[in-house]
Amino acid sequence: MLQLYLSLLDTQAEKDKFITLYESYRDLMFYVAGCYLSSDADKEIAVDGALHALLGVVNSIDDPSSAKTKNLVCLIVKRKCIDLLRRKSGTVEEDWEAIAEQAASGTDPVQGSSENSLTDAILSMSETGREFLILRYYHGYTTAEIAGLLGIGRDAARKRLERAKAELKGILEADR
Amino acid sequence: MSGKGAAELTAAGKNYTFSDLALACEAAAAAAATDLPDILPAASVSEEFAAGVRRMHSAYRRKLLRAKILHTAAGIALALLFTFSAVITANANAREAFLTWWTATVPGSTAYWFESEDAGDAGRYALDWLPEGLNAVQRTQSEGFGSIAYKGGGHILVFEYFLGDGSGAYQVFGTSEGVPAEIGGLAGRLYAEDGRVNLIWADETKGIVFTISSDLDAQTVLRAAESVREGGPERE
Repeated sequence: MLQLYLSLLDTQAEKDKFITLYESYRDLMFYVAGCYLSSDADKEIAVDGALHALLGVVNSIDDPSSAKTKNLVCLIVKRKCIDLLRRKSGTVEEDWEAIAEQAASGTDPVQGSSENSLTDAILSMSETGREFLILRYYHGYTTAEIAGLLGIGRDAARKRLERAKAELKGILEADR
Repeated sequence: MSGKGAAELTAAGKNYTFSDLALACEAAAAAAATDLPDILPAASVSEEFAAGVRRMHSAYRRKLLRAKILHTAAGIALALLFTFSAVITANANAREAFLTWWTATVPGSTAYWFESEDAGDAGRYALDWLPEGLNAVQRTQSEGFGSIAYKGGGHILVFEYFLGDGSGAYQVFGTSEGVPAEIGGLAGRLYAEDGRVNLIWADETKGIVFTISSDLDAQTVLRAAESVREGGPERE
C-alpha cells in the first residue's frame, strides 16, 4: 500500500523521505488515532487522511526522525480524527474544541510548567489554539500551508490563527 | 516568514517576535510529546482499508495531476499533439460564454482544460442528495478548488469543483468516449467504464467546473450531480 502513496511523489528523494516517515510513524499514527476514535475503520480513514496531508509537505520536512516531525505527524493525525468526529456528529467548526476534549477525555498530554512564562501560557491554551500556533511558529507553515494540511479553507485557517493569538494574549495579560 | 524580528504579538506590555513564539511553541510541543509511550502496539491495516485507499488514490492522483499538468491550454495542446497525436476539440458554444473548454483525446485518457476571462472565487459547493449510507470522509478546500470524498456501503463518490481559470486540467482515464449529459441545464459529459463513472460539467457563467467520480451507477451519479448547491456542506 505504501507504493500507492509513493506513486504520488515525483522525485526519489521525496519517496525516500516518505518511506522513512511511513515506517517510522505508522504505529504512532494509529496509536494517536486510537486516542480519539474507537472504530478501526475510522482510525484508518484518519491515518489515510494524515498520510495524504504529509504527502503535500514532504518537501518541507528536513529530518523525518526529528522530534519536530514527530510532533507534526501527531498533530495532523489528531486534527484528522477531530475532523472526522466533527463530520460524524454534524457539528460546526467552532465545536471542534469540545469534541476533542470529549473524545480524548483524560488524555490531554500537556501537563506541568516551564521556566518560560510564554511557554506556560501556550501550554495553558486550548488544544486547538495551541496547535495552530505550533504549526505556524514551530513548524513555520503559512496559513495557506496550514489550510492545506488540515483540509480547511485559508480564511478558516487565518481566523483560527488570529483566534489562537488572541487567546494567548488574553492568558498573558491575565497572568500579568 | 519575513519580519521575524518584528513583534508578532504584543501582550502585557511585551513584544513577542516570531522567534520568541517559535521557541516557546517548540517547548510546548516537547511537553506534549512526553505523554507518548516509548513502545507502541503494531498497527495492522485491513484489506478494506487497502482497497479504500486504492479507490481514493485515483482522486488524489487527478488532483495532483491537475496541479502539475501544463499551465496553459496552448501548452497542453502542443504537448499532447506532439507526444500522442491527440484529437483536440473545442466546445464551440462555450466560446461565446465566459468559460471555454477544450478536450484532448489520447490513447487511454481524455483531458479537459478550461479557460475563463472572468474567473473569480470557486466558493463552496456540496451535494444535497446522496444515496443512503454515503457520508463525507474528507473535505479539501483551497483557493479555486474544492473536493469532498464520500464513502459508505462499500461505495465511494468524489465530488470536486474548481475554477476554469486555465491553471489546470482534468483527466478522465479509460477508452470510453463518453456521452453528452445535462445537469441542471448545464452541459456535461458522462463516462462509464469498468464499473466506474466519471461525470464532468461546467457552469459557464460562473467559470466553475464540476466533476464526480464514483463506483455507483450512472443514474445515481447524475441524481447526485443535480443536487449540487452553493454553500457549506450539510450532509457531512
